[in-house]
Amino acid sequence: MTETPDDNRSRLGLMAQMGLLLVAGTLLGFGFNPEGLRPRKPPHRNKDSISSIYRAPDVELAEFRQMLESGRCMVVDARSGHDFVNGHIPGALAVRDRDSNDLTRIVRNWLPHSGPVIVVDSHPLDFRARRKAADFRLAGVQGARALQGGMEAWRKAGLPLVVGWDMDVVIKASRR
Amino acid sequence: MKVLTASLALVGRLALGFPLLWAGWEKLRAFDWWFEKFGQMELVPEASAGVVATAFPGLELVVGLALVLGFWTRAATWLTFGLYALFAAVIAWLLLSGQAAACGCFGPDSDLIVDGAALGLRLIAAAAALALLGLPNSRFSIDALLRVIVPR
Repeated sequence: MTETPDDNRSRLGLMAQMGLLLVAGTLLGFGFNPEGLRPRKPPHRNKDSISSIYRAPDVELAEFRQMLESGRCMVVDARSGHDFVNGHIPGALAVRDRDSNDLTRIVRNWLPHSGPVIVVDSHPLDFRARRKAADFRLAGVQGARALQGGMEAWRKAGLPLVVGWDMDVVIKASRR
Repeated sequence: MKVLTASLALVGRLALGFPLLWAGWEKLRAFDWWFEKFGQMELVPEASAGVVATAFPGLELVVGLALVLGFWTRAATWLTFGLYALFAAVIAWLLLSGQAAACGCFGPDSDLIVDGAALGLRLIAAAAALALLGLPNSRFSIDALLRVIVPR
């Protein structure tokens, strides 16, 4: 089939319309938020939430393993996506949300039976894990704790790791 | 038959356009929440996250509005297909990278989370957008009105 000048013209017209819609949408977005190009400061945290990070109890590896065996805890990985894909605890979920309502929704959907939430980090001081556990507690999950020693302790104990994409999460997500 | 397909096209336009319109509006309404949430998802490099997060809700709103009103319907339908296919790809990527996340699609008050159902719905919507391209345009559209006012 040969293309006629009319075909080309209508294709060009379609692309021009798509381009104009894209430009209009982008301009509308920047109209609502002219400061969108500027980096933003991290959200403000009050003193109570910061101190609760350090007051939080943590869990030792041996106790954590018992919890895992019972299958009633939710393991949350607080590291970056890159670190997570390079090796994480089987069954762990990466949770980046920090908003209390979002965390409540996640726990309600991924941990239907009540149980503790254990947060893991790679940092020796477990700062991210403690902060994330505090986020969960602020969202009403009282049993949220950080794993002592984080991924370093897990690796040193020679425990299994999942490397790469986690099909398990996809399968679980499609069954719920 | 012609009436039936045109009615189907109208229903399809509304069914695919309204969610986009709503999603875009809710994100713009709670922009600070959306901005932070988009950054947390780590979908694009940090340097470009601000631009993408700012442009995206407006794009959803404009494409959704164009589809609902039937303005540049074909172009809007292609973009709708692109948006739903993109949403499906993002959800699949989030799940494959082990992320449990609140969806964020319809603003902070929405209870939806990233799961298999969310992925399935986006794939169905993308397929429906492709099917819509094969249907004739309804008379209830700005495009049809423009053809009456300015005949070719």
